[in-house]
Amino acid sequence: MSQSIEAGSPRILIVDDQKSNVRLLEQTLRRAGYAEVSSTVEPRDVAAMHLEHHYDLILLDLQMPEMTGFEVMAQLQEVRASNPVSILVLSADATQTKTALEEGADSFMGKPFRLPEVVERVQSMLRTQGA
Amino acid sequence: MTTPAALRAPPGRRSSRSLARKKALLKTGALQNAILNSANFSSIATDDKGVIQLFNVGAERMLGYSAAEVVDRITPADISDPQEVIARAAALSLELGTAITPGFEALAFKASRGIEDIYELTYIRKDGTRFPAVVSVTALRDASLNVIGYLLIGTDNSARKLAEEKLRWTESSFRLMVESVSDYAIVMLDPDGLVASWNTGAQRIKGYSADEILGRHFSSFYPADDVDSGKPQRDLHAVTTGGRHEDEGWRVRKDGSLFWANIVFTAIRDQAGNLRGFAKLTRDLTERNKVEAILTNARAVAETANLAKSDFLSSMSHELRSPLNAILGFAQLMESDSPPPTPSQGESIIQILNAGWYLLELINEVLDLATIESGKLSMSLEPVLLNDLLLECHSMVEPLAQRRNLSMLLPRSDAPYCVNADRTRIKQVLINLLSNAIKYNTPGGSVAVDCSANAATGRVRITVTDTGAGLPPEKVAQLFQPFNRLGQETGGVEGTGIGLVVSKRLVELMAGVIGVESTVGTGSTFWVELPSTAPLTMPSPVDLVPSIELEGALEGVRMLLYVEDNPANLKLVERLIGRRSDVRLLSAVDGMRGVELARKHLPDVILMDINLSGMSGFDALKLLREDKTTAHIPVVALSANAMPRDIQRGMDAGFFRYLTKPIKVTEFMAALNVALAFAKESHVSVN
Repeated sequence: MSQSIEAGSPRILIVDDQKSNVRLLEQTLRRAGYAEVSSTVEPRDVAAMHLEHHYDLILLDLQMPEMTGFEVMAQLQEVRASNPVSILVLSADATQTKTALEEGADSFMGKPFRLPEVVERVQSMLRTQGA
Repeated sequence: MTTPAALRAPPGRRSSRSLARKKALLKTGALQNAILNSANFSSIATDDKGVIQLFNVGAERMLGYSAAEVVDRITPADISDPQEVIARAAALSLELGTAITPGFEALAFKASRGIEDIYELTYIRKDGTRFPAVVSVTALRDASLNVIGYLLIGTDNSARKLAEEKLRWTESSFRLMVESVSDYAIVMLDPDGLVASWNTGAQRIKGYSADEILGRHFSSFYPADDVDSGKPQRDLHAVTTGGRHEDEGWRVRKDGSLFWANIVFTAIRDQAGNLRGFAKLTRDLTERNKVEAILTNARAVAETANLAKSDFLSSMSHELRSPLNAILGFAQLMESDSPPPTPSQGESIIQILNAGWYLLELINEVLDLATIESGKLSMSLEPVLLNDLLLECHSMVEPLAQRRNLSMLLPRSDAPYCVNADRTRIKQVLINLLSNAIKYNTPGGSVAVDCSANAATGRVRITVTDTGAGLPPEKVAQLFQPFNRLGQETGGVEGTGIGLVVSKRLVELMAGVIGVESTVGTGSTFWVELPSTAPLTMPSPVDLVPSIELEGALEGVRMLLYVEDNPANLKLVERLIGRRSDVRLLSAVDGMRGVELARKHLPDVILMDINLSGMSGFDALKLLREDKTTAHIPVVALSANAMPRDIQRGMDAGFFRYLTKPIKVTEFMAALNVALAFAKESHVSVN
């Protein structure tokens, strides 16, 4: 928690198998002033990456062919106790809101999204975390 | 004594012999004038050789001869069916062991021997027509018992014969029907339970032919165990005492296989009440079960297909969203890029965005329609204050109206209009009507919204009137059909054409009606009617006094989180809580935001609406319970579902209290105080 504050900017990881989505979110968040935005199209790497980089927020897609967002959250669950991180699930399937929240997500947004709303949600989640 | 006309012998035929016979006949005294004159009986008296001597009025009428034509001329055998006379002669010869000649002897032989004789035969009339008769023959004897003649009294048997014939026909057709029924085994049993008749259905179901089974005991149809336990006898006893007995169970076919049968026994009794036997009707339910299985299977296939369709539409819509996300996302990025796009680029980007958002709307509506048609859409009806709702809708469509330079007019009156509806869904319908009114309007025109209550129908009508081109009647008729944009396809106006179809289904699910009135060149008025209901009442200050006094019992400021999507309810609770300096109110409009706020602020008590759009109150409660930081917070349910089973379901799910809408101030405050006290105690014990 204190790490990101010390680093000056919160660390954000974007996980999506579609490069276009990754690019879109990266650019949106960078423009909104977040400097420490990284990304991966490999859901398998997420838990290890988090252990190494201690993210504050992970933006997670649910439908990924290699490994679903639910499996990613299950893996993160093990490391989250010692390395807390907020998870914002972004999915085209709005009916999965409830399941996503049950499986460990802190918030949910449907695709397609309006960019200002994504920025607003990210800001709000990071604020809550710092509180 | 006058001689009756019928007894008068024809003139000129009188011999001394016949005169003597006639005197003898008259002497018998057995022949009364009344009998002889009866028109209903043919009375024919003959001499000992059978020659007719007397032919009464009844005989004349029945046979068409006058007495003069037959007396002294013919015998009764001459007016009888000759074949029958021959047959009778043969039969009597056989019966009595003596040769009897066909002729009058065949008719009178028995009587001549002193045997009472009544027989049926066919008389032939003078005109050649025939009729069945019953004839009683008596020998006439003199004082020394010598036969001096015969008296044949006949009655016309046509009517009885006809009735008998009819009965025989009915019986035979009934038997034919029973025999030919192949779906049911129809079996007659005698009083001992022996098979007395067997039909096609019995043969088909049980496998025995009639020859094999007639005369056998009906216990052959029972499994050995049942026979051993005496079930056949018990069944017979039941039908004998009850008149009717029904049974369902296993029965055995000829080949030993079992079938599951339904059997109805009926006791057959004669008019005197004596038991004549039993009718037994058996159905093979194994076959019915097979048919049911086929039907069930067909239904399952149809349901699977329907489910597959819903799943397909659902996954299609999700698949389409992902690429659309990229299109809309990058267009949004470009729109706000630095340096900004050139005016021409900006125009192109707006086109991409408009088309993209329109496509998203289309996808959502298709998904909506699929959900409605699959019957999966759940409605939560509660009092909705239209005044608030219309303000919300207005603020949502106002920017669109401004862009098209249209003026928007809200209801003229401030009178509260309250309908029983699903808030989210009625809002969706109104937004759809308003968007259409804006999209299909003329520049500089207007969109007017109004409400009116109809006390007679108990409904509130909401009208949305535009100043567009209007619609001719034939187009109005197609309005609520899917994918009909009525020639607007080329008008460059966005709209999916499914919107009105979805609206219609939604309104109907809320027990409402939707319609339109339109005049070409003037505009259209779309209207929705929904059942009116009493608005939620705001508490008077007096109601609040007791709860103000209670606040002293609690120390420090407590936090109440209220998750509610209906502003009218929220406003009410705000007012209630506003009177209490010890409680701070926090609110969320949906379940997800509610859970987020709960995790962030850890309120003392949560007040949860059950029928929230998206995540329901139940789902939110589950999430709160599963999270150890929020698990201890008492959650009070507030719901329009006031049936006892709803309340039970709520309590089972783990709500602290279950309150029903409309909010009763005293009950609400009491529940809140208990929950706050509980929260305080549990909080102390946790620490």
